[in-house]
Amino acid sequence: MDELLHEFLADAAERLDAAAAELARLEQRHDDKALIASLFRHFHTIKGDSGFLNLSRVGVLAHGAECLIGRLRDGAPAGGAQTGAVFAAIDRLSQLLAEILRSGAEPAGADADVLSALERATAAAEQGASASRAPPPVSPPQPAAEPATEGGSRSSDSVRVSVAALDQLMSLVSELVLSRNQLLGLASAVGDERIRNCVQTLSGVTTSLQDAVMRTRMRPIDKLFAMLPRLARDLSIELGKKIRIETSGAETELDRHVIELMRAPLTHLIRNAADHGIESTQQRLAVGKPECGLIRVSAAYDMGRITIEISDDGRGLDAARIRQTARERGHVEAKALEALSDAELYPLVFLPGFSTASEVSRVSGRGVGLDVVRENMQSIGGVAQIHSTPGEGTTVALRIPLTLAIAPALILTCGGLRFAILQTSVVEVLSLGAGSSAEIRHIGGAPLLRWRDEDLPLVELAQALGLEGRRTEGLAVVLGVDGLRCGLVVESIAEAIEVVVEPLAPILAQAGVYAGQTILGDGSPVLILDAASIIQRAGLARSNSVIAKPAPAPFTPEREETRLLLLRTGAGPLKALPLSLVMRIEEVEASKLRSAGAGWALAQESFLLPVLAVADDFQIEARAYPMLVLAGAGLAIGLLIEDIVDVIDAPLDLSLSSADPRLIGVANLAGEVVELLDITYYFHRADPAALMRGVNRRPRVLLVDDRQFFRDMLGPIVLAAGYEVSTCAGGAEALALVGQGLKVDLLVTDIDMPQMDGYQLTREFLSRPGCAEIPVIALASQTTARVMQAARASGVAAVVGKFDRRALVGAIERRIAATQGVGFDLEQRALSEAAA
Amino acid sequence: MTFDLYDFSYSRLRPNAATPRASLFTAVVGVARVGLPVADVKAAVRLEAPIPAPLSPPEVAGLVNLRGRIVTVLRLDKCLGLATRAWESERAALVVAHRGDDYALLVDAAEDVAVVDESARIATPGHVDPAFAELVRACYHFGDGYLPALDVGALIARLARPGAPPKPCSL
Repeated sequence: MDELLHEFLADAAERLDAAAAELARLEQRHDDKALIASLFRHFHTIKGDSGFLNLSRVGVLAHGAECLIGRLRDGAPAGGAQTGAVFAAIDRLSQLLAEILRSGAEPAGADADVLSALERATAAAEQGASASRAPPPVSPPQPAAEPATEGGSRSSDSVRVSVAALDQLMSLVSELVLSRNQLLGLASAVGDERIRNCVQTLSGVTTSLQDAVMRTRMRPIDKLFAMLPRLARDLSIELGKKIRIETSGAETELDRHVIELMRAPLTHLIRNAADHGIESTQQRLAVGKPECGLIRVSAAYDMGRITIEISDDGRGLDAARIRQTARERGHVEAKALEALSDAELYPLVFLPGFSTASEVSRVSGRGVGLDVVRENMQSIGGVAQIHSTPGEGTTVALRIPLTLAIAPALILTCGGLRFAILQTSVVEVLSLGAGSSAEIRHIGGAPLLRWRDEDLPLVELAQALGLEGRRTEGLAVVLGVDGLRCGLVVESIAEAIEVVVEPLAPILAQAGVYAGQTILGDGSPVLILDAASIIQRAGLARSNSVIAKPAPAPFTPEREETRLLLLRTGAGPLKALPLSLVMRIEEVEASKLRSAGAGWALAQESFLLPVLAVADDFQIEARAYPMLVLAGAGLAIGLLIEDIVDVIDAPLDLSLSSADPRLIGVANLAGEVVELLDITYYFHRADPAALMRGVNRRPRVLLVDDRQFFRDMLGPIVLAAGYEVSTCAGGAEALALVGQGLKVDLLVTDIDMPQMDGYQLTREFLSRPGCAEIPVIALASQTTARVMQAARASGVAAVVGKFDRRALVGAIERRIAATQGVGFDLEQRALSEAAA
Repeated sequence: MTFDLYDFSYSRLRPNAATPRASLFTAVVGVARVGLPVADVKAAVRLEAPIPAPLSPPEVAGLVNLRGRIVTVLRLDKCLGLATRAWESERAALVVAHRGDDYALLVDAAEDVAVVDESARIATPGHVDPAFAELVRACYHFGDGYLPALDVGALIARLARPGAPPKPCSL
């Protein structure tokens, strides 16, 4: 087909989509001049282009709509008749465009019905205008040239690219990433500095390229949400109910391919919610609900998946009716059916044949098309979950996985095989077995691990995959998906790398535990485990049958928000302690404590745990006390407190510093004045030498990057490499932390940041008292000679590529070793002696 | 136009009378010799032991990296219901493509292209195990024996057919 025509069709379709959304908004805000102007431009442009391409039907329709909107622009009131007529024009235009796309030519036919509706509405608007107000004066100077310039500028700064071209680009980049990974391995084996530098530059460029290409494929889900106001309007009219749609997370970005596939399921679900979920106006008023039914559509990232939730405030699913239908149709055996809870019944509505039945759709809702939803979701490897509360509404959650993507992953070993698991579903890695603090307990033979304040079910990967070698030693990878957590017992973690997630062949997809496949740096293929399926297969999803809300806050190694344990002890305000510092919480009987030195000692299996009271004036009574076990600096201590009040997530900003050595300072947390405990004080009291060791053991790295993505990506890597990590979103914040006394052993900063760039931050940081000797590593998207020069001039010790994890960890290691010479050497020597 | 006798045969699959000759890539699997349409075979390769894929169907031997692409390796003998050979050192395989994915079919020996005449075609006899017959597109006289031509699409589609319906049904 003519390329020009193709361009026009794509552009006009987009304009019609936008116009429909704007029109629906105009119905709410009748006199929004900006909306009217924008609508006018859309039809004006379509009219102009269609004249050029000789599409007369399109031209006449667009002209009719433009005339009507022109009246509105001149101040005529926009009523239902006007918007209705424009909607009709949009629909007819969309049909025409679709037909032209199919056949390449404008179909014959007449649009008299739509045109006359437009004319009537235009005439009515004119009358309305003259009746309701004085004839509008000459409308405020609306530059006539505006539409043209707008259209002109649009085309100059963007080009249309076919999806196929993007796909090809993407697969080329994927191959490049694979060879880059191989090259990185080779380069470090060869050990030639020049080659390594060169490879590092290549690596940086590859990563930037990959990032850029990925980005071109992403579109905000906004595009999909734009159709919702129109849908709500149509449904309101069709069903005679008042319906409002609220959206959130419109900025969430999805692969454009996925967005298109989501369109049908989303429409189906909203139609269902409006038709069957939301009650009639009378019924709603009778049960005391607001007259207008509400459908909420939200999109959000959740642990590496994107979750789209559609919830209504309607009557909810009728469990009894579903049960009956399932029995009648024999979908589920009668016996099994009795055992199902209501929540377990709801997913049955996704069964093919179940939902198409008119009686189900009439009575319990969720009628036509739910199996279509499930099929669509399956085709992109997603899942649909449904949850309902009678009388309160129904929520359907669509969880969409990464399709073709590049993602950070952990490579783990199990039964002699390697598997990958995406880091987005990994919360933490714990070591198990002898010498570790984590202890496995069993309930009816099923292993559990006490972790933070949760009971973590353990799944042995070897067993789950039917491999040899059951074991309870090694590592537990704490997985978190959809607010569910479990520990996955594996032998070891081989490495943390970025992988290109490739879709599985269908034969392997049906195994149901893999999310994709990838090729490692050494060229061998590995399967990517699907954390959600593992949790589900282990039967763990059962223990939480409702759609789990996302966990209060995913564990993040000391970020902007810190998870704090609030506790009460002694006089004065509540005390707080970052939860990450607490290894576990125990209850101890006062009678088990033996007085020792300034505090007590508690006999453990193989050692004495030093126990201190938080408050000096602590009067111990003969009762059980909660005890926080803190681990750090190679030492464990117990802190006796009176009561645990809460666990909260809050940004830590210390309003007041404190002269009290036990406190870091005083903070205002959610309106409550809280004293933040300094655990180094307690470690110091328990073993004065411990802290010296501690500093050598886990140096603190301050990571500054304006983009959350990089903080989230790099933070865990540095943490995993054995450092404490603090992250900041900007230079000012970082300097404030340092000003508050944060001891930093190394600064990692992005160069390109909005307020204060990396060079400036480095200069200011190094000029702070006591910071002059602290090494600074800069992250650059490209390590060109110019960047290096500028970096050196501002005092940066090393520059590494932004995605080059190996180089980053290597650079941190070298710089820290250089600054902490003696202690590190000692340990190195000890290690090498032990090895020999 | 010629009258096609095969249309009246008792074969399960009607041979396609339009192609007078067929080019088949022949391979030995266990005791049998089979042919694969030449158009379906992308390459004949020798493979190191693949990376196993736990929980996959028994026909799947694992994954290999073939020139930067991940290829699923299938045990052709198992697919055809024959006894499976243990993995020794290297093995021959034929690479085929199906719906955008590559598969390597393990064989005991990859032979050569054989051109068979449609006149040498016979209907798949009715007493052949249906599980096998399902995978056979046509049978030919070949030398002093027979050469079944495999239907690669059917072979892979059968493996990819989900064994169990999605969760709620498996209650």
